[in-house]
Order: sequence, then structure tokens, then C-alpha cells
Amino acid sequence: MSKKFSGSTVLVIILAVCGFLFLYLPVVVVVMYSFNTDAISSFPMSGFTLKWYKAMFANTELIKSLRNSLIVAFIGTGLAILIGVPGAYGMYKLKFPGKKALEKMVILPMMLPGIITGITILSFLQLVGVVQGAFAVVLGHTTFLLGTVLPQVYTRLRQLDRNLLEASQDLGAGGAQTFFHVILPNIKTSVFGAALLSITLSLDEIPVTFFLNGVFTTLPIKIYGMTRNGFTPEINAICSLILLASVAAVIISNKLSAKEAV
Amino acid sequence: MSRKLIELKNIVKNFGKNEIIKNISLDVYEGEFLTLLGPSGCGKTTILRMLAGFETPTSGEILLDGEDLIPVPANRRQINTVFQSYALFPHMTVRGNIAYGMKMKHIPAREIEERVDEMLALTQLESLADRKPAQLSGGQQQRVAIARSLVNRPKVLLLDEPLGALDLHLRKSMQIELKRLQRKLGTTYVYVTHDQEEAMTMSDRVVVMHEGRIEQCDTARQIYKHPATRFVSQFLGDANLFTGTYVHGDGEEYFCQDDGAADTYAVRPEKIHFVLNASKGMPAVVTESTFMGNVYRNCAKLESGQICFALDDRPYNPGTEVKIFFAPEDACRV
Amino acid sequence: MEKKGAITLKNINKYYGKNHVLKDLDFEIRPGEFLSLLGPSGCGKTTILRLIAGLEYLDSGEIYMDEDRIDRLEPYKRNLNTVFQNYALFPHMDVYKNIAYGLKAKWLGHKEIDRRVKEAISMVKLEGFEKRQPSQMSGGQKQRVSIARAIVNQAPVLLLDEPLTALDLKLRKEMRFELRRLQKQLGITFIFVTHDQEEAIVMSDRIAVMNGGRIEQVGTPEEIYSHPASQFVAEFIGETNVFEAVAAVDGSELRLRMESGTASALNIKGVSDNEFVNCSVRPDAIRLSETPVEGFNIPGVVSECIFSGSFEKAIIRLVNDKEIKYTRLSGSKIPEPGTKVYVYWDKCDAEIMKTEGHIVHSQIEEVDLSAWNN
Repeated sequence: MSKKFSGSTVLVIILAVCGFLFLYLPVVVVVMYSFNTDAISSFPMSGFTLKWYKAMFANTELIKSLRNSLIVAFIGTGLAILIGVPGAYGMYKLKFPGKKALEKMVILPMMLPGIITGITILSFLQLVGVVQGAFAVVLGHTTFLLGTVLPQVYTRLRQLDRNLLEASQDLGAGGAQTFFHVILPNIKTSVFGAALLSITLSLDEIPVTFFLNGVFTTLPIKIYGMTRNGFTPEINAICSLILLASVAAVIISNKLSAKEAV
Repeated sequence: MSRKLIELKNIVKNFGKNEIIKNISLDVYEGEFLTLLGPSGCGKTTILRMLAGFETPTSGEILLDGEDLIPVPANRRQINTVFQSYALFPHMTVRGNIAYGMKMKHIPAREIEERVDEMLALTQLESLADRKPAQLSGGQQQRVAIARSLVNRPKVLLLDEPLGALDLHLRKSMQIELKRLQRKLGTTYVYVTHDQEEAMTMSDRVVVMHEGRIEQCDTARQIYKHPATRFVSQFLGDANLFTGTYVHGDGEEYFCQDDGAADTYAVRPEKIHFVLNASKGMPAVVTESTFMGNVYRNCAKLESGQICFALDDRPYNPGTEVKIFFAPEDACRV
Repeated sequence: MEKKGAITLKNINKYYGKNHVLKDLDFEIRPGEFLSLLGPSGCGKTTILRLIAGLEYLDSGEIYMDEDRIDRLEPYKRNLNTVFQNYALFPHMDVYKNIAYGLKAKWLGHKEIDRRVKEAISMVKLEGFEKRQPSQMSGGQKQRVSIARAIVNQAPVLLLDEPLTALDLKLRKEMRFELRRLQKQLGITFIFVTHDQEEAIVMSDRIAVMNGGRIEQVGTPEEIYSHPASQFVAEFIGETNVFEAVAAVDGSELRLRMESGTASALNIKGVSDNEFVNCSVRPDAIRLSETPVEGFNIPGVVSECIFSGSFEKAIIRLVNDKEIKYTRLSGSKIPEPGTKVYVYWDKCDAEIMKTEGHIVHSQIEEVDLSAWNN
């Protein structure tokens, strides 16, 4: 039996290459221009420089917005984990009416357009008297991040041998003991992976933040503002850094999930 | 005569509209090896799960040592389970797995270590103590699962088809090991299987189940010799079923086949004799003769068209005319 | 040209990475025979099947069906069919459509397809099940659909990969006889993979016993059972008792000196004086006596009696704590546990095997049996 390069295989390869170029060429361009000596994005590049990275770090407003983004990302992710992991476990362990409906509803905030999530949370917060600002943004992020964390952890739980839970009970462990000694160690890499993904998604987020932030600026919002006033190469620099961090996070997240899936 | 350890009284279990257990009453005696035997779906695993505490009966009572067991949650019962999939904790070593139950009950560390070492020696797992389950073979995982349960000194050990995933040879040697372990420690075993050979080899008593009911409960030898129903006669071992009556003649009783008769008799294949050149017996023609290693399985077609089969030390040529003969005491009315 | 269904394997080698899974395999499967590939997990039996089917690449060697070389052909170009362990039925099609699937791809006319499908259904005794979905059927029924789907193509060779393993014991035993009858009825070659020796013995015309990538012995069930070529085969097929002994030649007979006593055997294999041998005796060939029998002195005590339905089994513990198995048909008299017995056998029932260099004991001590005999 020998492999042949048939016409259909060649076509598939061409399409795949085109797809990749379409997706990643812009990204490559941004990274390239972050090192360009010229302020204007021209091709070919006139020289290699790190001055835009230096300018970026000197731009206090930009750094402040980055700090805000990180705060929101970590707190939002933290809350999503604290609610999502036990939530997923509860869904896994218990049988209750409407469980199937809940399974599908949980992903909703992530699947809905950010605008809808943003507006609905804004209306709700106005109802309870919470003003726009950092707190509202964290709340908004936590909501859609739950839609990432819970389904991922739930899927991982369902891959576990059903008998593990029963074996733990059988051997005398109570509910909390079973969770900490048996369940958590077997899902921890999935949880970690979901957390990394959540941080990445949160850093990136615009529509929900836009409705809830008031004067509390996050990085994407700041960059968006900067582009409206004319494009400065510092944007290329900070985008390249975020890109690097995101790629690293996603790779680590994938490797961890794959390692655990036995 | 040992005492009753477990009493199941009028147990009924429904899953939604499905009546899985129709009405079961059963006593388990201390120190015995009891097997629940039956085809898939007969309810045997459900009974095991009710004893473990993972399911609650729809109605009926379960008593352990005379006390009501149903309100006791699974983690407080002095009963341990060996699962079909072993369910070893993948992130813990063999030692960690075995120690788990005692750790959860807050037994002092020194005692835990002693008892774990004892159990490792008993199940011949000393050299594997620091390995993780993924690094063990199927048979080794099996032993860890058993060790992990027995180390807690339960009143009853429940085993849910634990040998199903193993290779034939390994299964046979594990059967012997399990039985020896049970005798040595004196633990009461309730064992579930669909493999009747396994049931006969290992058990003190066998409970044959069918569609949610108990058909017969007795020692394997008794059930084999005197099956209570047609189902039992064909599930535990093989049986030839003959409908007919015993007729008197020449000062003896002999069997006369008659499809319209009221009684059906079950006769085991090793009790069927093919006789050449005989005057008495049912006439038949040999259809098949299969070599089975230590015996031959010979099939013959009777005048009624029924095919009966026998086990014998020798083959018969297909086409040979024989007479089928069996002793009255070997025919059991079912 | 009528296909007969003979498969020839020449000089087959197969590697999985660094694992040499099949080693210089040379083997012929005769047309119309029921051949079992028998061995423990990992011995290579499934690999051979997959090579014949075309689901794996050969590293070296050739495969022929009748006169034609097939190892270079794509699986769907080879004129054979496979029945898998997990049935592999198409879940969205009913029984009829599942069986007809392969025929549709061959552009046969409606009437011909219908005729063949109905024939296959009646051969596997599933009349009335044509409209059922796989999800509504039991394991045994699904297996029969899987078989019907394979045989409807009327190829001269059928490959079966442990098809009965997933079934309940009772059903498995029934299906063994059904499959054998089916094969005789169809007259085609069946190549059957299993790890269950009882299954192989009951169903096959010939058995190829495999171990570690090689074929240890090929023969009829009777040949392999009564005259195993090696200790592995002796212990894998059926149950047996193996005694390690030093042989002393006495004309055409051997005197065997063992840790558990002495025995006599026929010197068929040309064993020389002081050679180490293994003596294999089946549990149904072991005989017990209350007094020593001429040529034998193996005292022992019955330690356990096990009831096994059609058979009664006993374990006898010998002087050196070795345990041997004794089996008889139910109804024969078995001595009670605790009885002192002398073990012997008919010299024709013992299989003498040379140990080929792996000597376990450097010297077999003759145990003092006098205390035991009193």
C-alpha cells in the first residue's frame, strides 16, 4: 500500500495554506512593525529598533490601563474558578430536574454577543444601584468567564471514571473529603488550563467592558482610543507583547489538558 | 451454623417505570462466599449497589447485623466494594490507594502504615507499592483494588464482576487467589457474575437470578443436581430437556418421550449415555462429535427431531445409530 | 476463476516502532478450513489478521490469496471480509441496510441484493429483524448482523477478530457452535483470532498457537492437546501438570527422577541419559491409587475438591508442596480431601519435552519419601 498525492489532497493543502495566511499575516505584520524605525508602517522596513517598546513603557496612561486589565483578569478568573469548579462538580454529581437545560444554558454568556451581555448586566446593576466602574467590569467579566470555566471543568469531570466518586465514598470519605482528595487532583490541570484561557479572554475583552467601565480604562479600550487619534507604533509594541503572552498561555493550557486526558 | 449478617426483606427497586427488582428476600451468612449469578439485566448489580449504598430500594428492608442499613450513607457503612473498572485513584500510588480508607477515617499514621504493609504482603504487591495505577497490569490493578477494600476490615466485601476484563488464564488464577484470601481472612463476600463456571468454582452458595427475581438459592452442587426451574437448569451448566413420562415395563421404569406430557425433565450432558446395540433407551442418530480437550461433546438427533448432547471420553462417528439412556436419579423435574 | 480461499504468508516481519512484533512468519492457511490464531495478548495474532485485511503495512514479506499477491492491494480491493470485536454496525441504518451496504457499492441489481441479503439473514437466524435498529438489539444479535454483513459478499475468506469476546459466557458458548456450523455450511475459509483456548479447540479444523511474534505449533486440536510441542503450548492449551525431571534411559523407556518422586515414560523423543526434561500430564490423564503402582512413586495428599458442574476437580499436594490438578467427569468417585494417594499415569498420556537449555534447578534433589510412605 503506498500513499499517492491525489488531486483532492493538493487542493486541500492549497486551501489550508491560504487560510493560514489570511489569519496570521496581519499578526506577523504587527509584530514586524513594532521593530520598525519609521513611525509610519511602510514596507520594506527602514531599520530595527526597540524605541517603540521604550515609549510604550514610558506611556503612563497605557501602563495604567494594562494594570487595570490585569487586575480585572485575575480577579474575574479567580471568581469564575471559585464559582465554576464547585458548580461543575455539583452538576456532575447531582441529579435534579432541569439539569439538561442548565447544561446548555451555562455556555450562553460566552456564546452571546458581548454587547448583549454588557447591556443586560448594565441594566441589572442599575437596578440594584451599582455604578459603572471597576466593580461592574469585574462582575461582567466573571459572568462570561464562568461560561468558559464551567463547561471545560464539567467536560473533564465527565471523562473521569464514574466509579471514582463511588469508590471514595465506599472507602469512608465524606463529600468534602472526596472533592479535595479525589476529584480536585484529577482535574487540576484542566482547571489551570481553563484559568489561563480565561485570563487571555478577559485581557482581550471590549464590548462588555465598554458598557460597564465608566472611566475605568482597560488596555483594549485604551488602545482602541489611541487608534482613533492616529496610529502610534507603541500600539504595535504592546500588541506584540500581549500576543506573546496569549500564545504562551494557550499553548500551556493545551499541553496541560492533553496531558491529563487519559 | 453461622449467623445472618445481612437480611434483604421484600426488596423492590424501580427505575422510573422499569421494575428492575421485583421482590427479593435473601439472607447472607457471616463468613460465606455468596454469588449472585444471572444474565445481564437480571438485577444482580442493582442489589450490590443497594448493599453498598449507591442506590436506595423503592421498598423493603435491608438489615446489617440486625440494624436498619438503608438510612446509613454509603461512606458510613462497614461494607466495601471492588468495582468492575477497579476505580483506582490515578493520582495516588498503590500505597496511597490502599491507605485512603483509613486516612479518611483519621486512623493514626503508624497504624495505617502497619496495616498497609500487612496487606501489601498478603496480596504480593510489596514491590509495586510506589507505582501508580497506570504503570500496573490489569491483574495487578485488580489486586490493588481488592487490597484497598480489605485493608479496612469490612464486614462484607462486595465484588462486581471483578475478573471480567482479565485474560482467561489470569482470570482462573485470580479466582483461586480470591477464594484463598476469603478463607484466610474470613470476610463475607457477595460476588456478582454472569459466568456460571466462575460461580461454581468459588462460591459457598449461589443465588441464580432472572429478570429481577431469585430463581434458586443453594450450594452450586445442589443447584446443579436439582435445578428448580427450566431457566436454572440451562443457565447453571447445560441441560437437555425431555418432556415425557416414566413408564413401567419389564420390572423397571424407563423414560418415554411425549411432547404432550405434563412433566419436563432436565438431564445433564455427562449423565447422558450413548449405548450401541441396546434394546432399551430412546433411539437416535449421532449428528456431531466435537473434541473439547478433556472430553468429547457428542450430539444425536432423536426420533422426535430433538437434538440432545452428551459429554463423553470418546467420540462417535456421525451417522451411528445409538440408544439414549439416562438413570432416573439423574433426571430432575423442572 | 473460482477463488478457493487459500492464504499464504511468506517471510513476514512487522515492527511497531522498535518492537519486533512478527518474526519471520511462514504459514499457509488451507482453502475452506476453520483456522484459529490462538495466543496471549501481544503475541501478534491480531496483527496478522490486520495485515491480511490490509489495515497495516508489511515491513517485509509477501501475502498471497490463492495464486495472487495481495499485500500491495488496498483493503477494499482484497476479496475478503472482516468481522470485528465491537461489531462496527452503522448505527443510523437498520439491519437490512447494514447487510446490504457492501453489495450496493458493487452495483448489483435490486433483486440480486434482496436475494443475497435474505439468504444471509436466514443463515444467521435473524428472520424478522430486518427493520430493527442496532440500538434495539442485544450484543448477540448485533454480532450476528455483523457476520451477515460480512458473508453476504460471498468472499472466499472471512477474518474474525475475537468476535465473541464481548458476549456473556452462555451466549458465547452457543455462538461457538453456531459459527462452526455456519462455516461448514458456507464452505469458505474462516481465520479466527482468539485468546480463549477452549473456543479454539471447539471450533477449529487447525489451530496456530502463537507466542511473542512466532508460531509455536500448528495442528488439529487433538494434535495440539495431546502432543504439545513446547511447555508454552502445553500450559496454554487446556490445563496441565508439568513435572521437571532428570531422565535416566532404560532401553526404550525413561526413568524420571523428580523432586516429588519417580515416574516412567516412553522415550519417543530420543532423550539421552541425565538430560533435563519437562513431563506434561493432563489433569484428565492423572490417575490415583491407594498403593504405589509399578514404575511410579509419587505420593501425595488430596488437599481440595472443587465442583465445576460437568467436572469434578481435585488438587493434590505432593511431597515438595507442588500442587497438581486432577479432573474427572461429574459422577466419578473422587477421593475426599485428606486422603493419601499415589499419583500415576498411562505412559502414553505423558508428553516429554526437552527443556532446551533453560534449566531451572541445577540439581534435582531426591526427596526422602520413606517418612511419607509410612
